[in-house]
Amino acid sequence: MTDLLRTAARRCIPADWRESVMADLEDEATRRGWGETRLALQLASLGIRMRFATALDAVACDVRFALRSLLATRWFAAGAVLTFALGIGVNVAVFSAVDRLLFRPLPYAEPERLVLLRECALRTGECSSASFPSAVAFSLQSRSATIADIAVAGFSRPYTRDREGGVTQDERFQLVGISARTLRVLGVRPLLGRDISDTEIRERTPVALISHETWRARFASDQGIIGRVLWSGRSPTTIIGVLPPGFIIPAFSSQVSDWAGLVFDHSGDLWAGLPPTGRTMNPVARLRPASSVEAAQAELDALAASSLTPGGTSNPAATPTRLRVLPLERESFATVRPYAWIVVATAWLVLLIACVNLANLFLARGRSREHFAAVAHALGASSIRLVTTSIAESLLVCITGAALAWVALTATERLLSALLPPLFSRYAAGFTDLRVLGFAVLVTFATAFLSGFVPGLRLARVGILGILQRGNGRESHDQRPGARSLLAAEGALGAILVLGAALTGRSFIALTADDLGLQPQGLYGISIMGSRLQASTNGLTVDQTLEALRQLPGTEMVAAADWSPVGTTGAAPFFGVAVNGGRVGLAQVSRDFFATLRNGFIAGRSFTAEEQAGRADVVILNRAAARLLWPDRDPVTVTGEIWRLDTMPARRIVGITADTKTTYGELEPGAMAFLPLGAQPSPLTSVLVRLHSGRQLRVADVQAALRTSAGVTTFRLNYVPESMDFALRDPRFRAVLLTVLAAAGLALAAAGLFAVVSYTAATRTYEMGVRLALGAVPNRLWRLMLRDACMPVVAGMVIGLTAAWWMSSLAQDLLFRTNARDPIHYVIVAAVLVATTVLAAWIPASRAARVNPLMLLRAQ
Amino acid sequence: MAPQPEQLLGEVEQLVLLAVLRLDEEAYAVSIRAVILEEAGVDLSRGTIYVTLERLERKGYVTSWFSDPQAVRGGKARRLFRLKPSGLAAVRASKRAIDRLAAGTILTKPVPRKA
Repeated sequence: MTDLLRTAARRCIPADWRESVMADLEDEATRRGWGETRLALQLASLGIRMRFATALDAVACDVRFALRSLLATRWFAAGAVLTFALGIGVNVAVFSAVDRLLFRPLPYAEPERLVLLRECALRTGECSSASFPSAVAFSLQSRSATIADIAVAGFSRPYTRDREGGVTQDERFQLVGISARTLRVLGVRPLLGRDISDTEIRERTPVALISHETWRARFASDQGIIGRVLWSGRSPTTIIGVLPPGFIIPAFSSQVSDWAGLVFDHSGDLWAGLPPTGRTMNPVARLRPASSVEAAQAELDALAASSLTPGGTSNPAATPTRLRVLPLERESFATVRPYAWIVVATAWLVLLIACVNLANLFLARGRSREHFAAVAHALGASSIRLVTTSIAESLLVCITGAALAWVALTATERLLSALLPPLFSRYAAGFTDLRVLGFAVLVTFATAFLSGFVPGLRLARVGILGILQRGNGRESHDQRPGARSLLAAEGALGAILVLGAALTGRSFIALTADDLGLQPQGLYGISIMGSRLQASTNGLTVDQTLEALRQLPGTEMVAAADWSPVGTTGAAPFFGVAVNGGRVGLAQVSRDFFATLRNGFIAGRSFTAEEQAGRADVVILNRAAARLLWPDRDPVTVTGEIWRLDTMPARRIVGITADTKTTYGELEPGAMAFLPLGAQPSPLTSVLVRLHSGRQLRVADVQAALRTSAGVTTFRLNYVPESMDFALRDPRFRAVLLTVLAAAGLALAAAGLFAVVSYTAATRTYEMGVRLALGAVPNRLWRLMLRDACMPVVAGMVIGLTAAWWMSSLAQDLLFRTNARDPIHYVIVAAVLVATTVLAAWIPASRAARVNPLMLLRAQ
Repeated sequence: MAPQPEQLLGEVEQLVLLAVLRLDEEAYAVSIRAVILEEAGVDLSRGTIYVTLERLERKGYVTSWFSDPQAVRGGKARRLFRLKPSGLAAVRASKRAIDRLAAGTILTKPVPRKA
């Protein structure tokens, strides 16, 4: 045993020191009376120390050598550094944008115990965040075996720093109304200040907690923020805390991306203020420690069966629904996750191309250093040393590239943040974030290893005899299957990237060309908040308000409704009726509503002044509603029919309008029935103003008109094309991003191809000279070189397009009116790639075909 | 004359070179370690001694050879070290640098006697 230990320990000591170290230690062992075991341990520890020191010296030596050799080939080094900088820059930017959405756990205590309570349609499976029966929520809150506590979040409302109005849209804060125990349910503690106290809950004192991002951007991280007052009209709200960085309102954040904080007040206490028969918004529940989602669902099913009607819903006229318990971790950002993953996958493809490119560049360079490697081998350099030298070179390139990318990203951080869609920019981590830096370091080292290892291995295999026998520059044919495989890989990855960009671009174009059924240009929407107009829907105030707005400079038409067909108050009207397995939304509109929208009639007419004034029993349907009510008839022919419902008087249909979409890309416009304004008691929430071409509506003018005519001070004005454009931001971002990534990938692949073909041409110069001397035509040689360069790329492209065809079903849901398997896209992508390949290979191939055989043979 | 940057020695390198100089023909790892401990009061590990000797040899400051086997039973040859002229120059340069830095400071003034 001791002998074995001693032999192993001896092996630890470098060979040229072994004998002398053994002699010294045995001498010392004799003097000090060490046993064999102790001697072996001393030997081992000494050996490890010496090995480590030698390795460190070798690394330092390798790095110095790599630096010198890269400086000697500056163009190669610059190309390699830029290649990697592009690859890692794209990946770090994407990682920082999606980290919180995809990879980090939700910022709550024990997020696995948090669930959403939702009412979901049985037919479509679609779940609504806007309504959940309060009675059920109360029952769960008071006597549930599975749910510990429930919180709700409601509408967002604008707040300002100053009491009086006159502030611009940008100076308003959107605070989201929450129930009192929301932070306790989520298990979140404020970064500064405190949670809502029991006294404030009892007395319903208005208090607010602002987000960390708002505190930093709008209040310059003011430490004295606690106690400051924000105003909603004339009502003050005291700031009692600052939320921790990255706080997210559960399942609400993807809908309202510009929220600045949370507010609890007398009207916002959605929980305490709820009528037992009403509906609550966005309930989030915390499960009891031992409970599961399935157990909570079973309890909810039982509760719903006992307290609701047999249809599974509290309203017999509504669509059949089921109350469901959904895990928060799965549901959070569910809508953005698929395309965030596509963006991540695309960035990885770019990085992969950059990696392949680096490996290709190092391989090509390695071939020109075979003589050096062979001589180094012959002089006693170990294979490992040659590999580590190669890895040290690629490490230097990657570290420099990463540093360059990081500097570029931090310099353009604000610009990049402005380009991101709101949800991404809100939750993007900065480039100094530790996780982002860690990711960058990991990718840098992994890439350096991968792209330096293979070329190093090739150098390590070079034999001095082979080199001497072959002679410099004499290579009968390109014998590098590795390089050809890498070219094929670049072709495959490039094909997938370019196809992704082509499909997304086509989808975006289809989206912008979508017929909305209305004319957004020149149209403004005014969402009225507060209750001043609610009680006087039929009164003089509405007419006065419309008249006041009509008097504003540049106004062409004005209309009012209890529902906003565009803008931010929501797509579907609150009231609706279930008909033939579908739902028809009910909205009350003024008679100029359709003309103001430029929403055309396909049959019939709008309300007359008499019908409007007398609240006559008439109705206007849109085409979707007409089809739902009379599925077997042409919608044009239903004008004049009587529409009978149990819940309201029979109404004569006086007109059928074209369907309107609330936003671009809506596949199925909702079925709508329009009643004369004032037909049913309902708050007036929306006013539409159409201006003459080239005119603009000023906030101050609207404010003055609303204040003098109806005493309204709280409203939101939005220009409809801008709010519609909001819906285009995500698809536009997706299209632009994928196009940029595809262009980057294509440029990288082309650069890699150029380098490899240049190198191949250089190594085959002798072969070309012999061929020319034997009578070959230069043009044929050029074609030969071009074919040899293009074949691997084309083969890779075919593989890539086949893989893309197979994966296209995954991307189909993200495309609008674009078939992911349309052959035309594949043909275009193939044409682009082939053209790029030919262009990249053209110059080096023609250079090789122009060799002077006499000069070459004389030189040999 | 100021020493060239490549001639500057590390602290351990200085100690080992001085020990080799002092031990003359008897400088090997064990004796070097012992003399440094005895004269400078610095207890360097065996590993440090070997690594430093290896580095100094690579830099061309010392040269080594194997002695005859020791006159005991089973006695083995020792690896002995000697300073090369470049090593001597490096030690001189280091010492000169220290002397110049110390010149005029409290280090070069006589220590006052206690009353």
